[in-house]
Amino acid sequence: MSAHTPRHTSYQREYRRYVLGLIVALAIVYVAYFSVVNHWFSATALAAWLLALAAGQFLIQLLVFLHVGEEAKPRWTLWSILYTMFMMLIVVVASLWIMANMNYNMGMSPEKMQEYMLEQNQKGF
Amino acid sequence: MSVSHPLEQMEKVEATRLGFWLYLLSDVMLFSALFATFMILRHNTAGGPAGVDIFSPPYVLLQTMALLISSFTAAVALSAANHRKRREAIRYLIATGVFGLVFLGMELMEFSKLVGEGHTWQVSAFLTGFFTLVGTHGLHITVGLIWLGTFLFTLRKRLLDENMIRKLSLFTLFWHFLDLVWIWIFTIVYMFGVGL
Repeated sequence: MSAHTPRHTSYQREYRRYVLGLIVALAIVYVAYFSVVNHWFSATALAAWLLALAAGQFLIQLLVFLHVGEEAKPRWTLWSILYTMFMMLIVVVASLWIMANMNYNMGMSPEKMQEYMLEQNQKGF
Repeated sequence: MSVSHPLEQMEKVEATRLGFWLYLLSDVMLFSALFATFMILRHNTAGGPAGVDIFSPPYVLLQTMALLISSFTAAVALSAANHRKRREAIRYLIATGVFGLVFLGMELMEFSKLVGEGHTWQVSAFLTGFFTLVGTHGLHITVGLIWLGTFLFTLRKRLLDENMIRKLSLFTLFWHFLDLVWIWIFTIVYMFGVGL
């Protein structure tokens, strides 16, 4: 990745690249929007579909606008990004995993837990 | 032949850019924690409103469009600066600022509407998570807009030099990064909130 995009790529070419990136990015957002508003899917399928769209959007933004993967070896930035994404997945997925089993670990049914939480809430902090 | 440290072999510009990337990636960890918290607490509405009750999909769509467009204009502004098109660069930077302000204004209006209706961050864990996550992003946007303002202020008189362009390239990195974070907020907070 170069801080100064190489001079030989013309302004018009870069402009076209970004216009194309913007069109694809907006299209993905519209598809996500209409799939939610018009109820295209059932709950589980919708979750998977939205996450897939977000992942696609994420990749396009990284490649088109952030120029990831264009730097020369050794690719410090790319490896830092991949490492951080790995850490991010651990933080997010593992947290969800642990907390999904929280009711079980607390020895309560979800209803009992809800009741307990509301009771605590009423007591204030 | 002496072996120099790999970082010494990098151009100064490249090293600055890598350093800025490392800052952004540490910011990713901050947002990861906030996302994890929000996702865990998003059903804990404690008798208060859920996402589907308080989010307006068309409003969020407009907000997202504003941010995506401002990300695009920022990219074009840097490209113009790289090609020494000063007027073009300034024009696109102003557009970036305008769309960024539209985004921030819409977010603040949403917040004040929610608070006005009594849906504050104290109502439920869901709303605490929501205001913290979206508010932290909005705070970053605010800082970005101030940073952008300094460019517009200096560019009135100064010509585009290498130093200026380097700083501008860091700003666009920051701005695209906020766009990336917003994509996940759009999906996980708003679309999941309305659809699931």
